[in-house]
Amino acid sequence: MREIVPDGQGRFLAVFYLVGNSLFLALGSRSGQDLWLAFLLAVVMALPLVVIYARMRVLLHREPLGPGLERLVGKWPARLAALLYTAYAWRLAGLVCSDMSNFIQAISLPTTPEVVLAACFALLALWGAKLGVEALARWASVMGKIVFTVLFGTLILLMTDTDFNQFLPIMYHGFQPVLHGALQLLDFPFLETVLLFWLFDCFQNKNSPYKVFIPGFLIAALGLFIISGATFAVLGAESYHPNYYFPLYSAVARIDVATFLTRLEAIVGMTLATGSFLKITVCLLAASKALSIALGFADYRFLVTPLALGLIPASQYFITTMMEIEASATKVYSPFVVLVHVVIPVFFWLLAEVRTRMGKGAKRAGQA
Amino acid sequence: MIILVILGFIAAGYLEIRSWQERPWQKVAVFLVLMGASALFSILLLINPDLPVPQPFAVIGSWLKKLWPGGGGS
Repeated sequence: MREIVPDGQGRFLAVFYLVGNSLFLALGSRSGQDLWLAFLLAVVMALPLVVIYARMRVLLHREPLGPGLERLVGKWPARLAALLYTAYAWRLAGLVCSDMSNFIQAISLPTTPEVVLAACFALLALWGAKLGVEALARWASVMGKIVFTVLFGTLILLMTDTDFNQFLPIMYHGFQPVLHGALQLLDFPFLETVLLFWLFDCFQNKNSPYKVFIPGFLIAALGLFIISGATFAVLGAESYHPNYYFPLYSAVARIDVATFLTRLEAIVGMTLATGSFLKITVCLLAASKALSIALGFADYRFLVTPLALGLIPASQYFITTMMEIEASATKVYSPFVVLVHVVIPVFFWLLAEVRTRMGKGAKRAGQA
Repeated sequence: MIILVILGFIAAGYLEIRSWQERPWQKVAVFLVLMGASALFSILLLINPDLPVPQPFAVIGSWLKKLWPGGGGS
């Protein structure tokens, strides 16, 4: 069964997926007061790759993902890549599950075992993934409006505590911290856009991937930039640091409007939990779809349950403590991630372009 | 606890397969293998919570670290 997502809902899904759990970690913290420069550099570096992800989908010509990819790059390269992306998506779902269960345990349920919280998220994601990408995109377009309104309201209220002098002096430590921060942002969350390639089965029309991937990425990047910038301006460089957990949550806790509007961090916590649920579900869905392509099945739904149940131990396996979560989310490079974010997409894109052009050339020669 | 985990996986697998309208053997086989792998993974973690994570790219990671010491790590 073909699942076609309207462009508008696809865009919402992309934005919500990228914002997901990103905001409760110190994004680009290695850049210090040059956070804004790191964001700009990261967007400039990520945009060509996001265009490549979209271009690859355009080259599929509205074919379903599995057969289209096999036609473009060959049967076995497509299946091997699908297997690799299954591992990447499933691992990422496990990491987000771990982040979220640690976050909830740290802020409100200290005596609840993490595995119980992770199981709740995994089972909820199982349900979401079984419903498919159409239902998920519709849900994202409804919930996204609520979550982004809350974040926007929080941003307005944060403005009472911001000090923009925190961003000065500019490039005091040179260009290296800016580059570190930008690479950190590329790794998490900007180039995680690559999973959207595996998520959507079909699009509305030929150019829909451009209309979903590029604006989705740019809106998410702008939102993350503004909210991370505001958080930095409230906390300062000493506190916006990998060793300082949940910076947005801590910044929002400082909001105090005439001693009437306080303790708003609970609302932000709920929006972060919603975003994390969506991210886990997207990762699970992408993992199931990629695995079905790797194994040569047309249906992916029967793979969702074992992958979702495997997430519960995975959330206790890859990462166990808050320090490890911060270290994993704020690292600058990782060979595995570079392989799935950059090397394979660029290689496949070049291969697909050459094959498409050769196919067109052969067609023209045949007509002549 | 291990018995409880095994029973949980058996119950989930049984309910899932029962809900399918068609049960081609290829699908059933793949499903059972994946459920078995998930159950085994859960049991291994119960027996040893400090199970080491495989690092297939660790060699490249340490080489990159030497190349650019300030760049962080994998």
